[in-house]
Amino acid sequence: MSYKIVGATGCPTGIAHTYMAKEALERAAKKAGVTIKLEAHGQAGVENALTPQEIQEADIVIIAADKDVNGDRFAGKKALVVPVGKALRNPDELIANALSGKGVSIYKGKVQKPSASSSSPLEQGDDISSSSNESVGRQIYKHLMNGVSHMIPFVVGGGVLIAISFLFGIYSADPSSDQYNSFAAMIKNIGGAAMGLMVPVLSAFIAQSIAKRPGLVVGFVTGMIALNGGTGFLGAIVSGFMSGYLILFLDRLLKDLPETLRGVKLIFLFPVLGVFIGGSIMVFLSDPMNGVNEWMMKFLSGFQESNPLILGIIVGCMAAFDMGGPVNKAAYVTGTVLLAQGNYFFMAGVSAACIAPPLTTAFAVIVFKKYFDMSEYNAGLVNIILGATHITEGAIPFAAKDPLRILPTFMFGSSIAAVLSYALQIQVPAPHGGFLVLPAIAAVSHRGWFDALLWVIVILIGSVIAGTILGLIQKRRYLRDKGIA
Amino acid sequence: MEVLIDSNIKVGVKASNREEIFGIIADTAIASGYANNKYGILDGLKAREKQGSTGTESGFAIPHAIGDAIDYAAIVILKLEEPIPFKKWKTLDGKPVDYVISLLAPQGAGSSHLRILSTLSALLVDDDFQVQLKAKATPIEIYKFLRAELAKKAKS
Repeated sequence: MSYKIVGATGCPTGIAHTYMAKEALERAAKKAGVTIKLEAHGQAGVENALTPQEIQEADIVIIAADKDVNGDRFAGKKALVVPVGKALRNPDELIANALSGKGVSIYKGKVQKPSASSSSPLEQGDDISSSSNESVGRQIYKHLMNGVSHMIPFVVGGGVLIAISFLFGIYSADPSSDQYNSFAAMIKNIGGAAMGLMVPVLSAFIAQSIAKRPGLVVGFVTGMIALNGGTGFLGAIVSGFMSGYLILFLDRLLKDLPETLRGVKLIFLFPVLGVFIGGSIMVFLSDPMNGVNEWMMKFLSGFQESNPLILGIIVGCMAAFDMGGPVNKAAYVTGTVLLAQGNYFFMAGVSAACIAPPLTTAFAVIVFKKYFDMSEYNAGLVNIILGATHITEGAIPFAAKDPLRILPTFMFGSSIAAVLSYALQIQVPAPHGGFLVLPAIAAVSHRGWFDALLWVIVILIGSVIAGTILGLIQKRRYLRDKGIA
Repeated sequence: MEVLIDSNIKVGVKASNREEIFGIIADTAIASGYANNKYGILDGLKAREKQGSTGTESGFAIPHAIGDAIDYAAIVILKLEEPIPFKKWKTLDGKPVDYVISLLAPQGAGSSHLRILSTLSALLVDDDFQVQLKAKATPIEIYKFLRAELAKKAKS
């Protein structure tokens, strides 16, 4: 059949107004007793498409769109061109005008180009051109959050499995120990695999947020190099940003490539060049990490005999600085070496400093619940388990989203815990296990269970103080985000 | 995942401005497992609002977003306790927003899911539909009503 009016509706997002406008115009046309056929240019493509014959036979065209609706087809027809909102607001008036000829002109060509143009040569999901005009700080935060939100499940899944393995005995995964249990060893291995992925995943999804799928590939590889290079999660943040911007840079470099080579760029040039260049940069960057680690251990050994305040601050800051990275490891390994020599005091401070950060996050999400995301809130609760079993990594997602503010907060809390531990001469005879080693503390200490309890209390003091600061930082960010108009 | 579920429908929602509402939309979608990144959703909703307010008529607003922060297409509905003044959220007819219907879709969402979102959009043009929807008091009533209406509309 032929229609008196034909036309098209479309808005940039293409899931709501496109269809509302179409519906509104169809209703108005029905009321006015005229036939109409409208194309909807939505997210899923063009629906209810017009045939050339239908366009040909129609008396008038209505284009209610804020994007290009392939308008060339209507050239030479009498047409009424309006923004999509106009069709929503006054559909009856629009139909009446179309019929009376008010505001109608001969259509020449395309409607105005939309702001989010479809000129990018990349496919959906591969489209790496950034159309955003947000502030740099906010963009960086968005990229970090994308990495963190994907990382959290790995930390939770891996961390909880490792914690469960400790319930079989803190040496249950060691074949040479009489606590050895093959099931415990297995779940500790699995948990370790999940925890290990946390570094590449953080890197990969920071890069994905910046440069979509091509970024993801390079981010994963450089994140893996960061992991193997021992740079910890701080290395992953660096590799993630580096990978994302590297792809954006390559895209600019290759922008003059002919359209026909687009596929080659996506499936060959980006992965090969990106992985090679990004990988090389990351190898170069992680190379000095062993040196950093060794230097930190030497540095620390010079302070072993110093007073509790200085030693506690140094150990606390080191343990919470990169949580699994070279600086943290320097403190931890020094602790285990001294442990083997019979010095149980040093490890007590290191352990306290390692347990405090996850408990800090737990305290913060519980007391400042409404300022945190659901996923962060849940991760914070899980950190009660991870903290209690000396799995510092649980705190990483919180630190990774805003390292400059949150790492010092953790360092502060860990320092308080370590200083108090040294000042009170608490002894911890095991290198890990968290609160599961409390009986062992009671056994080696001359004050018995009193010392074990004291150790828990000093950790909680550090955690509550740092947790309060962490919560206030989050509150400020929350309120500021809300204020953005 | 179903596009429409009752746990994504909230009534008696308290909020004093548009940004607070966007936060509640994001939290709701994340809590029910439809999305992963609050800031991604907020950015998407705000970016759409910058191109033109999504406030429509009779107190309705339809903020929407498409993006990687969203895992599954979802409809989040917030019935507000107090309307948001017009100067904080522009509408087509100048009435304050008191009923928010948010449409969220992942990048490259399936057409059957997008169809549900577009069908709901089309329904919202109908005055009778608006009146009936507003008369429903609880999430489960709203859910049942919308399900029936969506099915009816899909057939027509």
